[in-house]
Amino acid sequence: MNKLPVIESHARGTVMFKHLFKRKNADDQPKKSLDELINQFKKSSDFMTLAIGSQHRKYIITYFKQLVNMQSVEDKILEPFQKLDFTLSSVHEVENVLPIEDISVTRDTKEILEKMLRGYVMFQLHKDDKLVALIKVQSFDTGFRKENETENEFSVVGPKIGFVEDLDVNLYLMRKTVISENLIFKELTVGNKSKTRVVLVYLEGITNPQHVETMTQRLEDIDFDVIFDSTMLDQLISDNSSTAFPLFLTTERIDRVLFSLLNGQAAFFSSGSPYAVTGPSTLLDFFVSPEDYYLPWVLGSFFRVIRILGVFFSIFATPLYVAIVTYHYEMLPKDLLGPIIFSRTNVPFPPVIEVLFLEITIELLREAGARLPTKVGQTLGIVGGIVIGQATVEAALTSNILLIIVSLTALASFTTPIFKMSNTIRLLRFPFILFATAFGLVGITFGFCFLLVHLLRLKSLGMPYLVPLFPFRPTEYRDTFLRLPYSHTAKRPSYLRPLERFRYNPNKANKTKRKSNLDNE
Amino acid sequence: MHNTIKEENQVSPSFLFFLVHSTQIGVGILGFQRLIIKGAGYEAWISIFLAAISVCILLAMIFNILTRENSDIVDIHRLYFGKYLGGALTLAASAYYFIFALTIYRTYVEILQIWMFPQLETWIVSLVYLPIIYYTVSGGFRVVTGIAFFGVMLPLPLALALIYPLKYGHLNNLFPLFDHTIWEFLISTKMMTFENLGFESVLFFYPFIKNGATSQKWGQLGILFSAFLYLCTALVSFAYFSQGQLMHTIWPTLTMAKIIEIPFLQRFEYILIALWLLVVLPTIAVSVWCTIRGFSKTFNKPPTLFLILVLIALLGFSIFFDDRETIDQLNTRLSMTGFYFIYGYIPFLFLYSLIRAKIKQKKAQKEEREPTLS
Amino acid sequence: MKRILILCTCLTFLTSCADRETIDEIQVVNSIGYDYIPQSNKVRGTILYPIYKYGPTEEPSIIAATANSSFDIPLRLNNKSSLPVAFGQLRSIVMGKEFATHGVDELVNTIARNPDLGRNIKLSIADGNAHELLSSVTKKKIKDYQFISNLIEQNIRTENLPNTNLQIFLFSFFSDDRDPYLPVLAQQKDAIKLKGLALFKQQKVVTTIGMKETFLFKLLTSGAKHGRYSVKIKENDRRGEIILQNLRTKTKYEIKGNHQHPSIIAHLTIDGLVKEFPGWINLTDPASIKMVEKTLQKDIEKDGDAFIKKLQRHKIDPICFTDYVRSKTRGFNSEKFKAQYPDMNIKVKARVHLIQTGISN
Repeated sequence: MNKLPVIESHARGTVMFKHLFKRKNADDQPKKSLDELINQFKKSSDFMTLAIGSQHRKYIITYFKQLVNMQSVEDKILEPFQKLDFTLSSVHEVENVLPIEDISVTRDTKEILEKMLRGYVMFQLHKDDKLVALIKVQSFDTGFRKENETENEFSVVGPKIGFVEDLDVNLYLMRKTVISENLIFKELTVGNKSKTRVVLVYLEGITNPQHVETMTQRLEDIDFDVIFDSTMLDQLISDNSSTAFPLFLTTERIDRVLFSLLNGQAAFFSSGSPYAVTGPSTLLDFFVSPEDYYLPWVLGSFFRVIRILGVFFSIFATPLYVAIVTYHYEMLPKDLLGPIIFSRTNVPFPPVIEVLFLEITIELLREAGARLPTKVGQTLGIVGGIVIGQATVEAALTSNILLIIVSLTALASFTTPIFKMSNTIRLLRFPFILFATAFGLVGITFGFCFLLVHLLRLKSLGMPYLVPLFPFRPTEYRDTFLRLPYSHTAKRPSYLRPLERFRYNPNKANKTKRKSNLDNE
Repeated sequence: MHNTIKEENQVSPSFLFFLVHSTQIGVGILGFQRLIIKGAGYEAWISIFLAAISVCILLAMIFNILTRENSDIVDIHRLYFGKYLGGALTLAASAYYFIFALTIYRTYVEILQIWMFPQLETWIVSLVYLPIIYYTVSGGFRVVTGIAFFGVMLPLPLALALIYPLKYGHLNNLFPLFDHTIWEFLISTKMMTFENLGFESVLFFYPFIKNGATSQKWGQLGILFSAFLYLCTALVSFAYFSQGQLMHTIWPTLTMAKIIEIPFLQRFEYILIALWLLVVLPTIAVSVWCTIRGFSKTFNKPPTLFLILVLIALLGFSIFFDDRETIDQLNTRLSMTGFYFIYGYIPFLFLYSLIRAKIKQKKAQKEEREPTLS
Repeated sequence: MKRILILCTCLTFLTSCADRETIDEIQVVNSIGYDYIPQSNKVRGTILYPIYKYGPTEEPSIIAATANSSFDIPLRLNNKSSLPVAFGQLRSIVMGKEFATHGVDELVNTIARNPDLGRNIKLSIADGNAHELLSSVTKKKIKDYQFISNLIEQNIRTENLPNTNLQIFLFSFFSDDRDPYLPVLAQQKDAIKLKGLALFKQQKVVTTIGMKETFLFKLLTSGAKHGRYSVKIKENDRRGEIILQNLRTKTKYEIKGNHQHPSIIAHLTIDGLVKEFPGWINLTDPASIKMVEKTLQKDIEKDGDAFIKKLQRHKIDPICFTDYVRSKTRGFNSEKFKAQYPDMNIKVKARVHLIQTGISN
């Protein structure tokens, strides 16, 4: 089979410099012998050695106490050996004797090392045997959440199920919702200290194999020590790591991941992280909320339009204020002239300092609020918002009109459903304020041109970021700014180049007969 | 000739509409009304039609040449006129595009300085504008096309604002019709050249368009759309200004914008001038791209080097032209050069290409009939 | 390369490039007045601007300065002001009577060339001294710095005054075939009143007309949708007065005669309602209605003809008949027409149509 073209990532520090790193880490060293391994293990106090069996025969089992499920060990290993008197002539017979499904016999110290660190029990016939059996009694449901109610991506209507930190539970949730033999899981290991399991998920026959191939290749090329969260993987494989815009969609919700898979994107999960990362994604994907699909299409479209308007308002409102008040007083209508001049007469600072002061206060409030426990956070929110705001106006440090504008923009910036994008929007405001204070309205246009060119140059997994805006595809607008009814969204977006165009038969989806009653009378 | 551009750097044919249209609409539309009434007075709107038709014919000629050789003008020059003469002609064309970019850039900065910020120094604006141009052009032709697309679509709703000055319009200004001689109409048509310049940059970027031969209709549509915009602006301006008033106004479109009132912002012309940055950016970006392509293909050096040189040259020259007189002269000189380029050189090249092809055909037929005995 | 970009950007922000006009650090001027002092051949400028320091309600206040010509005035005014004077929000310009009769060419050219000024500025002539007019705005009776521009705007909207602003004025001012006009404001014991229109010939005011003729003027130029007109009515020894409220008026011109001796008829079609009428008229009677219509018609035609004769006597053409004929003729000779204008036969033909008569009989 021809090797599919892989789109190289330009992320610095990972793919590019891998061959320059000759630093020695545990992977590159020669294999240790079993004795050296056990001596290394014995340095930890949670490494146990037990002799089990009957009086005549004692077999050795060794394991890490914290990693194994003690109940399973007692029931499935110790009990059989104590109750039933086994005589094993060779280690291979353990496989038939114990009621555990994952038992392997090996001499490979590398495999022994890996598996023992994952919670396998090592079984030796004699103390110095090199051929051992590895029995899986891994405990997995301690320390992790059982459920996730997706508070960060809350939706009023619709299921509130989210992924948890345990990879197996996540995969179970995926399998449960898509009953199809085409749902393929591809497992990889990333991270040389954490050896995190990363699972790539896609729908075969829909997703373009090139996306899957590119993602796999980039994930395999990563050289990193511990992968704390799947969002780190997202940054390590992204096309451009120095942009503020998120290039992959990360989400906790099951329905969002499913929706991406159905459209022809690929997703990956990593062990220890509740966030799934889907790609390739476009700019407009980040303004889609699951509620748009659960509410009727008129409402869904309306709220989507409000969301996008909110984004524009939150980026441009404060820079416009700075530009007009500093340079373009002629643009104010005559009735607004009085209130604005009056609100600024006693303020000692130039408008840009006022604005930066208020904006940074709001950012501080946000950051502080994120770190505080909930009860204290609520009080501080009220104190911060109302009292500080009111006090600064009374002390004539800022003007009251500006306070209103800044609070509204802060509010509007939280309408974006995806957290990463709302951070970007918050950040984008500041360069625009600086441009506005340097050049007025023209400065805002300068900033906008920079932004536009930057967006034009971004690519997500090799696909242009601004599609369907540019390259302009007029037929792809059915689900971008407005969400058209289900009879119109049957076709998958073509820019993902899926292998199958239609999701379902549009003629059969909710064809309400809208003939007038008059004709039926 | 085979097209050597990789497919991932090409754009689909319909984008030719945006490329042609955005390079034509630049700073000309802000002040052209005063120039075209010099010949036919208030009937000059008819000459807009004539100019558009002539430009459509020229575009057809250009496409004929380009599709025959299936390559851009650098290769065509080399093929037709040899390495040295062809190279010289390419350099001349590149220099022409450089001056085009310079004129548009300097005129826009001048408008900024006159209308919004009288004390703004040219080099300060350049410090911000030139990096934008660098960022755009260094992204490749696809990014330049993207900017052309947005530079047309985003400011397009502004054209609706033309309805507002009609409230003060006196349609009687446009009558009587056909009160001027043919020669006066032709003078007005000549004055329209500057506004229509820009479409000939297809000569440089033709290989970057997928299925170039099929894209001609989009180019023609682009020209017609520009002509339509010019026509609407001219008609509204003629209804709005009296003839004496128009002769006194240097920038009629902007002066007209002064009367537009939207609910909570007055002085619409400031918004217009600020957004004009986005309209003018594709024109400059495409011209700079063409200049760089000409130079880098002739000298076989990487384009980025020339990009930096061109931007520094833009900075230097824009500081050099620093008052209304010199900028006006720059505009007129460019208009004249453009006039000879499109109405003189392009038909010449077209005829040369036709004759050459005919000669080749005759030779091939002769070969067929009397194959050389080997 | 990105580093150079960032460096450039930082440089730009630190150097404070464009000229700031922060809104609370400038003096926002709303009206400016020009007076001509014939004794010393100097021009006196007065500006009207609001002060906000004392509270949310503004206090209008004025500054005046004298200079040799209108070009110098802004500089002299700056010498007397604590904040730089900014004309971006200028909304009305008042010219004193002497200034208007002396010649407004210089001033109009300056205004037209200034990019700071919008085109919605209302120009007006003061019947007397502009300085006094502006100072009466600051007095307790009015005390609203936007008074003058609001006054004119409101009257335009209720159509007592034809539409006028800087654009309309410049349109007629620079055109060879038209003559401009401006509203006249008079002072009446600290109150300001709209008195009528001032008609220009080239750059000087030649005559003024009162409010009734102003309404007629408006009807003749562009038709109207509002406005009131009063007519005296007489029938068989009974006298009274009728107020016609104009609902819709359409104006059309017609050229008769030939190239050598053209004559123009202005057709007015007026749909109106009678707002007030004396009790002895019964408006349910169709004959009465016809009589009222005929009286109104005759009256309007008579007044219209007299008005146009007056214009012809002064040799001015603010109704722009010249322009109308120009648009209908090929090879128009402007000089010849202007020479014929004072003796030309221009008549008004009106047709009045009464539509409603109010709610009670």
